[in-house]
Amino acid sequence: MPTEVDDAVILSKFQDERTRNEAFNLLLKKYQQKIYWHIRRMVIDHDDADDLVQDVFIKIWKNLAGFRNDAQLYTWMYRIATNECITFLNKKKQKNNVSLDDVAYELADTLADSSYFNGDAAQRKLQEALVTLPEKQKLVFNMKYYDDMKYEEISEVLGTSVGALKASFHLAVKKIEAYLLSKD
Amino acid sequence: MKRDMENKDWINDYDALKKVSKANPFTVPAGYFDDLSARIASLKNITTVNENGAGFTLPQDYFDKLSANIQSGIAVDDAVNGADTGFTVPEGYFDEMAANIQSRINVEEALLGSGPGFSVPEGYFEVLSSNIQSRINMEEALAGSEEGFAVPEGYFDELSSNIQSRINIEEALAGAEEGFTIPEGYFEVLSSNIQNRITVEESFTGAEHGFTVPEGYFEQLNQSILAKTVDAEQEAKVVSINRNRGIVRKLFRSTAFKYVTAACFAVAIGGGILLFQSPGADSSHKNSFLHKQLSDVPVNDIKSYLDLNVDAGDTQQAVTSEGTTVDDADLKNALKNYADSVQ
Repeated sequence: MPTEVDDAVILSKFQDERTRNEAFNLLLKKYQQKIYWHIRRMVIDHDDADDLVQDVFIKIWKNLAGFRNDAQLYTWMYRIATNECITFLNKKKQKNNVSLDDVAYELADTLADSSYFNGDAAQRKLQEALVTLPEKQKLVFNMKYYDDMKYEEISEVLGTSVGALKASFHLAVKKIEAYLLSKD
Repeated sequence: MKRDMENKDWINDYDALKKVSKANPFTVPAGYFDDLSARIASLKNITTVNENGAGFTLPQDYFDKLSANIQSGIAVDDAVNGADTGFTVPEGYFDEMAANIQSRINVEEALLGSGPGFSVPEGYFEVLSSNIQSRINMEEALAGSEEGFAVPEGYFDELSSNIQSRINIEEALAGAEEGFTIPEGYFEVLSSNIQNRITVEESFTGAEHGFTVPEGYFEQLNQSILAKTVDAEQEAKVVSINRNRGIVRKLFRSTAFKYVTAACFAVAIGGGILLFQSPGADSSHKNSFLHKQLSDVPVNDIKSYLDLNVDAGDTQQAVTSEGTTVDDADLKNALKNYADSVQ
């Protein structure tokens, strides 16, 4: 996934206090858009995504010193972003005292009102179908469909087994296909 | 059976989804990612500063005491703002305070300013201090001069009444000119009249300088003489010479008695001469009151009196004043003849 500076270089620079800021800037330039789009597809609204992406990278800055090399850097950052998105959506549900289905409807309204959506009707229908999925199925679908991540990488992000991910992805695709066929 | 989901051909099994483009349908504001890194980096720096507390320190146990301090502050505010502070202000005081202060400022500015109505000479305030100091020095000098000059005790207590009396006198004198008149040319001859009067007084009183008489002496003199002379004839024929001498000595101290004596003596001399030259006159004299009175005086008394109190100059002057030239021999003879005739 990384295409610019190698993660090992970034981590090495970050270990040195004199080059820590430089390492963090390299990290931002390399992963900021990937993390943003991952969040945006989950929360739909740009402003919410903007707040969350900043919070995610602050957490990365605070915890990068404790990052262990037994995992890939980008899957570690995806995990942080995913957890922030789930926390945000749960707070939103608790705040409005609504069910998960109501949250899906709200996200659909947000999608309809968003000025930063440039997709066609089919794409809009796909997004409307996605907001109806459970969060984990949605996450698996997004990372597989849009990011072309392997199940092993998604497993590192979600902490779920590859088999469970495959089943979740299968269920998600079936629901989306049904939704798209119902809207034709 | 569905294809393995790891195989990218799985999408071919879902026709509806396959028709949907995989392109990202979401967009972001223009240039959003250009400054995203900078904004996140700034936020990171702020977070670092806040967490490390870099640049800021707190007193020891600050947070331990913070609650109590806040509670004390609240209590103080309540006491100050509460109605039970023990102090009150007039109703509407704070509503009018701003306007009152502004008015006071305007008044002060008007007084201090060189606005219309009041002005001072140029440089007045620059020399004001020295002028005041000079005035103080002058006042102190005047006050201190009391040591060099003195006035009678109680002078100032009576000064007012004295001035008032003087004013009254002046007014009386000024007013008297209207009510009283004097003879014409009075003041031209006044000086010479006074001088003449002084001369006359001195001529009468010239022998008295240096002597005094008992009070009321002259009032009793005439009576005393008569008592010793005329009235004494009825009381006693014999008078002690020593006693008479004492009386005569006392009486003769006066000038008036001298004149009286001289007059009597002159009358006696003149009468003797007249009797001696004219028998008619002598006989008439013997029948006069004076002759009878003098005839009663003993000759020895007359001699003693003359020896003690009259000198030749007085007798000569007395006779000369009558326009008669008399020498000592004539006078002796006259006295002898007079004495023989009365005996």
